[in-house]
Amino acid sequence: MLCAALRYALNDAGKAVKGSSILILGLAYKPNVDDERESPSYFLMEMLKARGAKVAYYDPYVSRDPTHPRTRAVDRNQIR
Amino acid sequence: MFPVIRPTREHAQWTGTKSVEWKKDLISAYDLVLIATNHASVNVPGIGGLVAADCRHAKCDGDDQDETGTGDESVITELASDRLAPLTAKRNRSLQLKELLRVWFLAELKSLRFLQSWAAVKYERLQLLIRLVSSSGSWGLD
Repeated sequence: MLCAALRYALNDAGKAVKGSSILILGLAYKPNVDDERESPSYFLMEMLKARGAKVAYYDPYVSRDPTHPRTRAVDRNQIR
Repeated sequence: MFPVIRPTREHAQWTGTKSVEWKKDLISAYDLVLIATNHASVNVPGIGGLVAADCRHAKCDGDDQDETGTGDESVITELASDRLAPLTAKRNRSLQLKELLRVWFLAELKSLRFLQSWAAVKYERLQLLIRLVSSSGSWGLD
């Protein structure tokens, strides 16, 4: 159903899902929290990517604290 | 803002993906903005001018027939099916294996029964031959 909603929304703009750039707004699993684990947004992103869309995200709530242990793990691995 | 996706076991492919910046010109460059989480601090009307699909308040267990699904309870029905697909496939494989074993067992049983009946027929014919030979008293050469 979600894919149909996206198709309708993009059709209104004269575009297809494949090749379109889509921004996922909100990565956390529920409003006003900074925990993105088990979030359906990941499945959304995977589903859209599988359909050929270019996916990006934005979430204002997830911590930007560089001392966060999981963030440090990212830095340690030097992931781009 | 969440600068980078942290490592997770389930979605390792997204690890290290950087967030976009919340700037009007950057956001407006996207073809579609999908509002996945209803954060209070996000000014949703401020996204105006963009194509925005809204899946807030969506649940994974809805069963409505609304195909538009905008802001509706079951917009993630397909998502749920995607999520459950590996489990379903695993279960299907298990069922297929069970069915295969059942068919194989029945086939073996059938072949055993066939062998048994074939052996019985052969035994009867052998018995008949022995009786014929013994009743003739000889090999019929004299």
